Amino acid sequence: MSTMKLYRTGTTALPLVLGTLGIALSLLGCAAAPPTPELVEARNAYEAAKAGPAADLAPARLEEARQALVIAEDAFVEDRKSDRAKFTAYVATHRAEIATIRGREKGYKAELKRLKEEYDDLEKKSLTMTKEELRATREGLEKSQAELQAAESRLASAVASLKEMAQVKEEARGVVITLSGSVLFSTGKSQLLPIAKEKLNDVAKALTDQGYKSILVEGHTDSQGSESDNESLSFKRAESVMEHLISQGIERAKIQAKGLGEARPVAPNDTPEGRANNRRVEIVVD
Amino acid sequence: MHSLVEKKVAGGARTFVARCWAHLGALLLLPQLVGCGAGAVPNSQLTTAESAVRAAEVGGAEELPKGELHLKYARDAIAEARTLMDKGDNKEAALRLEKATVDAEQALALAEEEEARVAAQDQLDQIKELMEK
Repeated sequence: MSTMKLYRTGTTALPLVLGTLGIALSLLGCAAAPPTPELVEARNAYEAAKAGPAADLAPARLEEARQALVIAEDAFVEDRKSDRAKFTAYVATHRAEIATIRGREKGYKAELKRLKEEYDDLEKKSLTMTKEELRATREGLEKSQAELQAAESRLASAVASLKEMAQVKEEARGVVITLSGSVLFSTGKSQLLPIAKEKLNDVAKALTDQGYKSILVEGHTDSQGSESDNESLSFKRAESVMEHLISQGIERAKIQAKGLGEARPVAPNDTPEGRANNRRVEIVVD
Repeated sequence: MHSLVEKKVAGGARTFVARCWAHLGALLLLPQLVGCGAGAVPNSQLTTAESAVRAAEVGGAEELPKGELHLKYARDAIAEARTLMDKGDNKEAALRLEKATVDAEQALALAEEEEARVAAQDQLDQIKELMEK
């Protein structure tokens, strides 16, 4: 009888133990952990591919890269130290690189098509044109080429400059451009530094080129000083950035400023590095 | 009699809850246990990876330093996968084959991009030549 009782207790307890163990193991995998360098590289490669020619010229490849990144993210959540997490992140990185390469390839092919048409036109014209007309056309073409090169160089420099001064990431609320407070303002001031104005001009140009529905400029401080002073300073700084962006062509009706003070730190305030990270302006673009 | 029925009902409910836990536990444990298994022999992944390497070779990937490098990575990963398959470690082998495929595809993409770039440059040179005549 007692054996039977023991057996019955065991059969009831065993599933309970298994169930609890199963849930515990699954939850363990979900615990928040910093991303591995491989996953960070995969995310960056995808963002770069998305910002490059692949978005317009190789969307199917970009979608493959996105799916590979989803698999890598899942593998990371499942077991961040596993070989699967490492290899799927590698695959995601290279799928994104392939998307970028295929985008560039399509760009060259489009250029080739255009040049072939131009060649055919020129060949037809050369039969009727005088040498003088040909010279004028050649000069015009050379001028266009020089202008194109200058425009490409300006764009490359704007993008490089933006990357140097700002961190760009995509969040649920939109694309967030984070600018370090030390780049924009002197300590305790809300007046933009001259270099910051130049940099913000690049940001305004990038925003205008990219297109936007609405823009929110958020000011953030560290926790030093009083809360009300920080809130006031963060608002004034956000307002300075907003006014400068408006002066560079951003529509006033589509932009607003907000001061959040020390309320939303992104790093602990007990180290100089953490405080520097918290002193920032975020431009949220929808 | 009444309390006996109540006990039976209570016992039945406990058994039901226990069964639910058992099923839930089994469902959640399954992926963990499968994770430790050898997995199916990745023959189709091997074929895919080898085909991707051949396509990259035919596409001229070896003529570019970067293409050659990615092809090497792909071939190394296939060799590693074969060793793992011989040991019965099919799951790890499948991961290497995924890597080999993407490396080979990148080698081919680089070769085809270069081909397109050269074609565009040649056409531009032809235009210049025509205009200088």
